[in-house]
Amino acid sequence: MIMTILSITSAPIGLAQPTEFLTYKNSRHGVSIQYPSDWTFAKKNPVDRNIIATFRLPFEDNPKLFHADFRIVVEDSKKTNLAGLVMTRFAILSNIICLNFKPLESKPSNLTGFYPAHQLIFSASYYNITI
Amino acid sequence: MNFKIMEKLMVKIKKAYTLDYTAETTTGVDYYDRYLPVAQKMINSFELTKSKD
Repeated sequence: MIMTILSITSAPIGLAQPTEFLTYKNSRHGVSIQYPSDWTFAKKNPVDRNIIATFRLPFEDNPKLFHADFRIVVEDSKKTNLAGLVMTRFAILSNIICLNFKPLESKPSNLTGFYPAHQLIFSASYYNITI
Repeated sequence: MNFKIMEKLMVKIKKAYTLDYTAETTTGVDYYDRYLPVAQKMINSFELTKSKD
């Protein structure tokens, strides 16, 4: 896996914002994203190889816990349409990953400005982030 | 712990992409809303580039 930190850009966008963002690029999977320079970064997950990058704001006194976490997951998909992927994801979230799964929002969206996507927002009292 | 999660799902050329933003909501601070602008900026900056696969 080839990963490069390409650049630093200024992004003063509010009180909770860092002043700088870095760019993560993964040429194997063909993705890039900007992330806050004061968040931790890990390019591998020891449990789930489909998680190609994790960006995290950890607790100050316990790096194993986090206040906020952002992950990129890329997997080969037999699903050729978004609707099938969303249905499968709902089933996994509600039956396997989460305790007290409570969907809050489910709606069409987009990524990279124009690719059709789907947005889910939900709450849970436990969330297995390795699945 | 309690969490609030936003996931963006996308399928393109037999690959599924998921961007997952998770924040804990247990400690009395609404970290989800606090860092949502950061997550939105990350999501908006997400790009597909030429893959080696």
